Amino acid sequence: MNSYYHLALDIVTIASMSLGVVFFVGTAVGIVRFPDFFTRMHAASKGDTLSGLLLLFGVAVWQLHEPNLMNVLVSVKVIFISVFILATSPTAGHALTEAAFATGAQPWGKGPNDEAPTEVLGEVNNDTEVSP
Amino acid sequence: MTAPDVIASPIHMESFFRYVGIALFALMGLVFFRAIKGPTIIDRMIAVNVLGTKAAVILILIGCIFHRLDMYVDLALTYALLNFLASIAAARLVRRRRTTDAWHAYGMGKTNLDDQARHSEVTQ
Repeated sequence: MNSYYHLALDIVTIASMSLGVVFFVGTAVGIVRFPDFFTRMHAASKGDTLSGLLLLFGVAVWQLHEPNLMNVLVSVKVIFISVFILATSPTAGHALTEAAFATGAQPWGKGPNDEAPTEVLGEVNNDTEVSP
Repeated sequence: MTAPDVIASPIHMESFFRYVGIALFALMGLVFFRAIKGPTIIDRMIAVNVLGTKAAVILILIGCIFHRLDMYVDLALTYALLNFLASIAAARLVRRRRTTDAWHAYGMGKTNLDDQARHSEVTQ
């Protein structure tokens, strides 16, 4: 292994993790600043998933500095955690959004009496029964 | 695990991981603000979901800093799995209390079910 290999690994790690931190900045600001539950869920689900993926990808790449069996196995495990987050975080977001919608959360709109959300979502709201 | 003690790279990556962990922790403070102040219970739940995911990432970063990633990766996997199960269970709990009374109790004022009830009264 020449030193260019290690330098390339470090550069990929730093780029990926910096991008992950940038996406998590967007997530945190969106969660704090957005006016509605649904917009907050939009920011939380997407930004959280992508930032977690990028951060874990950076760690998995950094683990390949000494590519023996143990380190490669740990790297594969970190990739497995990132795949798990990719599968479960949007699922949890969808479940929470559906629970909020079934309990009757009001979407954010302009004006005091906006008719647009009830007209658009009126057909969907009929099904509020719970199937356990 | 034989951690890479001597890395032939001029960049000190452990301090970079430390700075990334500090940045994540500071931003988790913002999300924690929403978890405390959130007007409804589902705002708190999405904030706690984000906090749990980022706690798993911070566990992996701690493993990188201390060169014991083979131990911390299992902890992070367990934490991510428990976080997912907690989110699904809380969503089912809130969905089971399906009435607008529950939503009023959670602190939200007007609901779209109110609008729909009024609309059905008008049409009937």
